[in-house]
Amino acid sequence: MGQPRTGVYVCGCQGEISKRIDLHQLAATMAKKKGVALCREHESLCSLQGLQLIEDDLRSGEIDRVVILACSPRRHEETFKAILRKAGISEYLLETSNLREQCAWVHEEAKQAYKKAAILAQMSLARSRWLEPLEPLRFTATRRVLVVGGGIAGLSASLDLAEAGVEVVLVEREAFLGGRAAQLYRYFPRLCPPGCGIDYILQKIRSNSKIELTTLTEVKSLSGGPGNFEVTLLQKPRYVMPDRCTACGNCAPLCPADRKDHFDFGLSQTKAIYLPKGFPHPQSYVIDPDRCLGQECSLCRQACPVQAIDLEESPRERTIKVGSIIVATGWDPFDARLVEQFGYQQYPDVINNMEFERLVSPSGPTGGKLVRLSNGQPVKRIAFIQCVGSRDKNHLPYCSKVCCTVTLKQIKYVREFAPEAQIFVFYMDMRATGEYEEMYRLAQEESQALFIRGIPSRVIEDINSHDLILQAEDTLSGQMVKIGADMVVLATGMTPNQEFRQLGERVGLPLEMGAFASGHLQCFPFESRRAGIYAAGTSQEPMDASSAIKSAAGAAMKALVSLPEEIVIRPTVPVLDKTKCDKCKRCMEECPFGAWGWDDAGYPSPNLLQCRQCGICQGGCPMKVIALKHSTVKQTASMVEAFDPSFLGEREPTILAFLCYNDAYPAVDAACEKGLTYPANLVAIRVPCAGSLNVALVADALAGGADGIIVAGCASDQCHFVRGSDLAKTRLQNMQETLQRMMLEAQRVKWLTLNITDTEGFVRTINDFVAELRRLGPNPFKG
Amino acid sequence: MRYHYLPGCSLHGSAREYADSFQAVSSRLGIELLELKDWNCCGATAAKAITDELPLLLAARNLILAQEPPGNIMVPCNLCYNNLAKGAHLLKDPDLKKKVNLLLQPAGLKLETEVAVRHPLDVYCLDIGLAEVIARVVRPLEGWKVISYYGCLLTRPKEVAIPDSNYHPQLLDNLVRGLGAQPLPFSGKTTCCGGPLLLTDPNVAYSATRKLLDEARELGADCFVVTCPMCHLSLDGKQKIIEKKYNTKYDIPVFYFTQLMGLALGVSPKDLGLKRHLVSPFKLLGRV
Amino acid sequence: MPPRVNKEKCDGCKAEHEPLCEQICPGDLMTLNPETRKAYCRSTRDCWDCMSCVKICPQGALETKLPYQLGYYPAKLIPLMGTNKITWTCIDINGKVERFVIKTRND
Repeated sequence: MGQPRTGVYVCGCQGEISKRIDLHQLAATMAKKKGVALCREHESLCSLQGLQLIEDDLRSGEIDRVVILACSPRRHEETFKAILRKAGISEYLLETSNLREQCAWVHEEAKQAYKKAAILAQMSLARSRWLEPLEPLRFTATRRVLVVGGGIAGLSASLDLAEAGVEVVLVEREAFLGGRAAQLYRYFPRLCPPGCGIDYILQKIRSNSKIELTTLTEVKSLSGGPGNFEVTLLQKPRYVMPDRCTACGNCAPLCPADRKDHFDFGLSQTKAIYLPKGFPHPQSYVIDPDRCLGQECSLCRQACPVQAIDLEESPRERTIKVGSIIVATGWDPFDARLVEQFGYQQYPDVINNMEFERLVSPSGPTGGKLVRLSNGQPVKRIAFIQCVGSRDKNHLPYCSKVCCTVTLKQIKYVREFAPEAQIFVFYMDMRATGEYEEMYRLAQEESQALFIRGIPSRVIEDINSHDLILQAEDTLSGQMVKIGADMVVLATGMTPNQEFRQLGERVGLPLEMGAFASGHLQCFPFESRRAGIYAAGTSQEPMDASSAIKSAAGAAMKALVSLPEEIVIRPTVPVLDKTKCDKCKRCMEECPFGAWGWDDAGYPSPNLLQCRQCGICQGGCPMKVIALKHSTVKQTASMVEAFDPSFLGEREPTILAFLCYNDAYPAVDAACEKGLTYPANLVAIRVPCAGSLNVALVADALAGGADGIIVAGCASDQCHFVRGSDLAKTRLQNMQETLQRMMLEAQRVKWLTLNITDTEGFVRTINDFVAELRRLGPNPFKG
Repeated sequence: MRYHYLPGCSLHGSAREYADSFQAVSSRLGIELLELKDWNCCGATAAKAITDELPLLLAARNLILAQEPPGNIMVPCNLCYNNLAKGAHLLKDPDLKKKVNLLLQPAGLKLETEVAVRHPLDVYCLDIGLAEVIARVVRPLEGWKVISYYGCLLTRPKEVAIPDSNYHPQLLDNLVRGLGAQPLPFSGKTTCCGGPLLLTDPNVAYSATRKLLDEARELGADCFVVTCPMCHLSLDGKQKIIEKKYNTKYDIPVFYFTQLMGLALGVSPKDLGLKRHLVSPFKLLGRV
Repeated sequence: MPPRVNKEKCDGCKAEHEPLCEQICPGDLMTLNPETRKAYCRSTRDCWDCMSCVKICPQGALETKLPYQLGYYPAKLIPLMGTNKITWTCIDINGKVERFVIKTRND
């Protein structure tokens, strides 16, 4: 390797640093240190001239790495990295030291500030000896996307991706496409039939060669990460050969077995061999294996004029490679049986809003006639109850967004089919946003629906007439209202599809609070907890059809982004030294992202594309064989060793702090902005995550003589790497217990939860800690 | 089978017939009843108006007394049952339990083990078993059209209720059917009878009770069967007052379910306290 | 004298079938108790106090007792593992504390 030739640059920051710290002296001291090829002072290193200076020195070959003593790395580290790249040197041969936000700007006493600056410089120099010329890692990507779900969001996303030139594999669990939209009679607000829009999309999909579409297919398992997922698909048997079936329909009338048609929510029946409603794809009959009588019957097979029936068909599995995945598995209506007081499925004329869609659809259980399910009589009085199951802390705490507008649409249906019928709507709040407000106005003025602001306590049925009685308080007039109705429609909310939950469990996709897939709403709305898997449509959250299409475009865009020809990742990845690895697998257990797998020799091996580069594995490794590049144990240990615990004099206690770069380090940096100062007794070392700190380093610090040690990280539920703070806390607690046994004061080692805004708390803690350390006396290892 | 038994304020007094029939039926089914020694008021009514803690402490004391073997307690009155079961459920929380024990310490009381709080309806149907009860029926109540009225406290909230549906329960209906009678489909099975308001605002109470009586009459019911002394008081005790107030006639007798069970199981009507009803049940007895 | 396992700190190395102490013990004396899923010493008389297990335990859950010839019960010998050094603390039976920092030279 040869001796490092370090270039040390001291920046006065236009006087901001030089006013407090004697930079001449500092530069002179640093120039004499071993391995320092040159040491320059400058008033503003980040200026064009300053940067040019560094670049020229690098190009001249006099130095092979750079140490910059200037402002916080959070301000200009990227600027300096760019200069190294420009000069043709690896940007990882750069070490920065924070002489401004964590020294000159926060320590009032000039001599102490100087001593601290000198120590910081020394530590940075020590680390710079261990820097490595790392280059970004490149992987080839699979330029294909898997879309799970053939509803309106899935279809739309597939088309968007195909039109952008990407291959798509689209799988749908049912035998028909269109999902829930296919079950609707009309869309709002223009009351167009869903068939129109879905048909249009399907035409385009069928003619687009980039989309491979299979129905009756599910995801069985998946592994891998962004750019290289491996997915196993399971295609369930249809028992009818689609390329032969002409959908002539000779088979069905002969079939002796019945099944409940779940397209109609069980309100109608079909034979066990049936042509699916909605948009069957391909256009072929299907046999329901749970209801079919099997080989002993075979009446359909005998009746089929083209021998399309294959009762022996078995499920098929295949494995594909894709670069990213869009989950568009959709929603189920909330189960209104849980809200017992409305009598859903106790009284035949109480139905939910999706069942109502089926009732008025020509392909539905009554052939599109609005009649009562109890006795087939026409519906003359109909009542809608809003917010069934939604906005209820016992059931769904959220608002399902669309149910109000759905009811307004359904009021129009009632007027279409029963112009003279009385319509009542029992509501808490009517939420018809944007242009849907017009629907609300029309429902009252043209359709003459009566809106009562109060939810009925119960729905009661008269045994003989099956009339339904609802009693509610109209909270606007303060009067009790009691009405009789022929039919009650419960406006039930949306919950994620059961299939989605099962999929989530199978592939390890953690669900968020509302059991939907959406990630952090403001920052990452399309992403799920698993990198490379995006959610579209109602898998994300409740929404209407037009929003589902918009959301599909968004998800498609996100999926596209993780599909470059090549995936380039930063080289700050964990590397395992197999010579000392015990295969204890602690790294695998503690990784919050499941990024560690096995290699052929049985050693743990990280999946670099799934790795989030937090370093928790490095922190937990008992043998210290994992090195998170550019924040290795050796590099940090060199800084700890270079730390002189008596740098402020024999009697001043000193504190070494390890700050997590996400919350703790910025919190400490912010002290100057808030006009706070704190004692110079504290020297900070940054770490990527509190969990990446191996406790051996704390032991080193103690053995080295530091009087106090702080490990600071984010709050438990806010840690960017999920478990880092918790693990760091536990490891420190274990160590503190050992310290007590060793007759060393356990209070010397402290865990500090630092939120990014918690600067005041930090300053108070430091002041208290310094006072406490004065009382405890010096570390017995000092001197 | 042995159970502690909490009569509550009414079973020794105005609801004597419930106590008598309850004891008769229990002994027929082989259940030994041990009246809880030194039981206190359950706290279901007035105590709630004083503090939030008082009903809990009263319930806790009863539960502590019931800790002695057999470590369970059968509570015939729905109000007592609801309050006691709720108390037992809340006291599963260790922090609350600690707090209550601290408050009861001066009385030398401590809640340690969990006590099972049961209602006789659920003990007969589940512990003894409906099939076993039916097997012992000697005088089926054939042709009786019975309204099974559960009252508002037996089937809610789910955490403390008997194991049945909140709004469409079936346990009592199944029992009535098992005794040979015909349970009528009744929409007000779990609608409040107005009982708790009888002292404070009787008119409101009567208008609530009246709805139940009206529907029963419309359905052509022969009688009501109830599980709670307060429901009995509203439906039977106040029936004549309601008739007078609304200028109408009902004449629908109200039985405790233990009395119906007693009749079917062959207990003598004398031992079931039928004479204490205000609306005479005797015309129905001719049918048995 | 054999190592004592602090049952609260020991996590059985995540209940793997070979925890770290078992892997490193030269006498093959440490193993995992299948019921409690925590480590224990199978044959205490054969332990020769090398303290490899104490040094490697990531939770710091192991502690050896010094033989009576060296210090008996109140005495303690506790290692604190650094990256390239071990800090030893000796506490004798009178409570006197001595500390040594030894550099490990196996890099």
